[in-house]
Amino acid sequence: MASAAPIFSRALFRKNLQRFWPIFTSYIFIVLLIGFNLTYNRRLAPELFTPLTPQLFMDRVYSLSGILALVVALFSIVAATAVFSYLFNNSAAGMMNSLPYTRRTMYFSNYLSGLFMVILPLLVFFLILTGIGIVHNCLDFTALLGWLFIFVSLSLLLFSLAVFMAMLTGNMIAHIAFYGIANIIIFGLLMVIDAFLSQYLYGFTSLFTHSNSYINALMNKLTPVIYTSELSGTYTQLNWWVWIAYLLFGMVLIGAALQMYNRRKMEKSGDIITISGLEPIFKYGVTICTSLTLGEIILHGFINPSSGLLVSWLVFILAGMLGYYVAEALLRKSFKVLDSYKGFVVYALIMSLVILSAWYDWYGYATRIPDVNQVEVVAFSSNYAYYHENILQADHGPVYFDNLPNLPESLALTYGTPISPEKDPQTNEYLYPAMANLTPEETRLLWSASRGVFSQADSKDQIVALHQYIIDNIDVVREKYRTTMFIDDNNRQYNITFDYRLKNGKIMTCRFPVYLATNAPEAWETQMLEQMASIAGCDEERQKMIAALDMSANQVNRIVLDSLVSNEALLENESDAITPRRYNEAIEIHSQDREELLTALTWDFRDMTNEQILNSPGKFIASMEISFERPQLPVNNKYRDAKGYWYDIGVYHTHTIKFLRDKGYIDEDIYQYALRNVAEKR
Amino acid sequence: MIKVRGLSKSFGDFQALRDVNITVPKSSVYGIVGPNGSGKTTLIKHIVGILIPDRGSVTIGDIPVYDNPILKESIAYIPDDIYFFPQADLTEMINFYRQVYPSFNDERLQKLIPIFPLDHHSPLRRFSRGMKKHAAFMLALCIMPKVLVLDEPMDGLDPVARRKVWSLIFQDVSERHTTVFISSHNLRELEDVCDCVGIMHKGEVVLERNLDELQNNIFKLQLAFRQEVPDLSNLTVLSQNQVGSVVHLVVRGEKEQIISQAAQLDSMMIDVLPLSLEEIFIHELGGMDYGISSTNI
Repeated sequence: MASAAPIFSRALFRKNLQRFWPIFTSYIFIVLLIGFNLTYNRRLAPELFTPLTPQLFMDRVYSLSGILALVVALFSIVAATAVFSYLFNNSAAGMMNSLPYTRRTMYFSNYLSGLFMVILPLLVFFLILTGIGIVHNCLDFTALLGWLFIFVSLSLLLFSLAVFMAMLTGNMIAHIAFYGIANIIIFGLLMVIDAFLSQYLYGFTSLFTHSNSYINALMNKLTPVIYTSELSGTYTQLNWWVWIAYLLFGMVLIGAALQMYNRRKMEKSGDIITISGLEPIFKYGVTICTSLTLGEIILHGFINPSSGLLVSWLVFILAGMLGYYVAEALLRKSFKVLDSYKGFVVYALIMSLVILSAWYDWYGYATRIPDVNQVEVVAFSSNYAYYHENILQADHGPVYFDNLPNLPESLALTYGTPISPEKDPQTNEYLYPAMANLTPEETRLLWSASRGVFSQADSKDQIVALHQYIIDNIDVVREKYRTTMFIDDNNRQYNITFDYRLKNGKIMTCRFPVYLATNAPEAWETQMLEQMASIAGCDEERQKMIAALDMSANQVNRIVLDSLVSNEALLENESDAITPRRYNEAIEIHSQDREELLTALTWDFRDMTNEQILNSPGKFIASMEISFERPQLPVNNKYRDAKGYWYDIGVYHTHTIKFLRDKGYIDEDIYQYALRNVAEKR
Repeated sequence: MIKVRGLSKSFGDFQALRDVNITVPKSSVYGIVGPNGSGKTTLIKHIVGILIPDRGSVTIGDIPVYDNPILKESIAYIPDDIYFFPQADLTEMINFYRQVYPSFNDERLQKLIPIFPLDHHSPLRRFSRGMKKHAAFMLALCIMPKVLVLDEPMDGLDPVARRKVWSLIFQDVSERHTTVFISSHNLRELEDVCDCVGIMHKGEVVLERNLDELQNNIFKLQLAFRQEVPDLSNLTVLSQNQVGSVVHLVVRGEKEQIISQAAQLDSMMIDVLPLSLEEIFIHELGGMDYGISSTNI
């Protein structure tokens, strides 16, 4: 009988539109307001007196993606809550379900009326955009249809998600809350897990680093609102499969929600969870989320996060207890829930086990180390400087060369030569090829020019040896890190990071935040500092530093000293010597002195001890910006005119400081100050 | 016509209905009575197809009610807590019912409008409880139901309105053979209108009878003795009360049989009186933790 009944009731559909017309009319109004602001109102801006081109027009349409994704998300839940509002009220559920319809008819009639409310405004907007495109002769109808498909897919997915959530609960507030949580569940879970592991697992590398970029990419795709809001910059390279997947998943949700509606117990109106089997999931889900989220907030907001195992364990357990009893109270609709402690005891035991296992690293996370023969290249840093993570995988994703002073010429020619020798008439700029994955040869070339990236055998041996030494002493290293509450004059913090690219193409990242004593270090600290220094000053690294300065004075456009330490500050109190001059007091190096300065700086990089390079620049004197051009490149090459590269000049740059004093760029007292500091250090 | 067989329903740990069996003959008025929380409303919500049974079946004319739109087109249901769309006025609700129920009868609507003088353009949420009941009856009767299911229908109605409503219901029963299933606490009212009565207690139907049959099977018996009260074991006594030499009994059995058995007791006076439905209800449930005798605080 049920299957023969119509799938759709016009009466219910019409009634919903009649009752909830303010929803879709306000949606249309908001969408038009946003659209008007970006497509017409901007014409008041001078640059928009230029005629609209199809690309400019679509740029503007897609630039709405961020706000429009939020509006779609908002109206999806509003529409779903409205059309299924009767499920949250016992008498309304009774009245509606006594009507002569099958549950399937009820479901589809309400679903379609809600979907109509969220799709109609997009259709109206689409028609208006088409009209604007025709009037201004800038219509790219295919691109506009693509835009419509994207937002219809998103609307169908989010509205179906909202309907699915309505089937899970009999409470309107819970419905809105569940929908909000479902929209950010992946992002939220990764965040709290990341924070939790950072808290307990020594050496844990964030889930959000570049080497875990697939997690970020997956997280974005699984958070459609965020993924859609990022469209404005990438719409020319759309991944249509994602939108098709959204559409298909939305349809799966339609079917799943129908099954749940067919089985729904109408007497559950008002309950937080309408499906008995899901109650434990809700209860323990709330417990875990509260434990992790509230625990982190309390630890970081009110207690020192490095307050040790016992305090943090107590905070996480108590936060979990709060979540557990709140969930229990919501399910039972009563505050008399203390008798349900058994479930919490089990949870607390499991949580304690997880915390202990991470704290004492039962998984051997911190003691992982690759075989040196399997290491293709390694990026090493003791303070996050120099190195850019994506360089290691330049053959798997685009990299940008702007910050590379010694850019190999072949790379500059391949990626910096315009597509056409003529400028684009619309923008009056050259069009350059989009950054693509580098070839294996280009990738190796890039490594050879990038500081902090080591591909020579000697360097790799030294780095793996340091890594092994840390692992051999992991207990003392970890203990000192965990028990050092504050950084003071006796300790210096290093974030030692090893990013290995193995020969099988995999990336292995190991991180060791450490505190090392500056006064009276223990034997293991001295040993570690020596090994770190020998890596910082190894031949491979020095060659790259010197190669970056290998240019003739004719290439240099400008050298400027900025943020210079003031004489007054030095004379009054040397401890305040880092007080910089104001920027308008920057000093430009005369053109006749440029060559000599470059030579001095090169000698500094040659003569500095390994320890000085590790701790470079020592006490700060000034920032130096060198702007130059690469005359060997064609005039229209993107990389010919190199932007400024900054060097921090400190007391260890003895040749440079002396040159600056000899030429009168800095005063004698600053020079003496630098000499004193270097002598003290020795 | 309405058959409920082995119906059971639980709300969590609470068993609301357990193995309920009732039969409502076509064109009859069936009253279901029982204390608060006995399961009357739950039973009704199954009969109109709102709730899904845990076990058992509900059929009308041997066809299951649940998820059966064709059958439900002929059922009108007036709940105790009436719901109308929050912003709707009566005209909008009439239009909605007209679209939903193919049998909606405008001719009848025109006849009912003067009987229920209501403002058709005020939001129904502003109506009093009684006025909402008027509106609900008007809508229910306009769909020309074959089955009318009423949950505490007269609550909130004044005596004149009650009389009007009953008159309209009887008219449907007699002219259109409508079957009426009604739950009420007002036993005196049910006594006047019902053909059959079911008594519910703690989710079970403990008694289901034709009202005449029910009233002819239980009597009030007054006896007077000069000396001590003799052995009454030959009577099926449900309750006993003595004031001086007069003994008041509630006795189950046929009237003639009771008189003949009483005559053997050497009583100075024998008086047999029928029980009201209310008295029957109290005595039937008296042995089920539901006695009301001498409640003091």
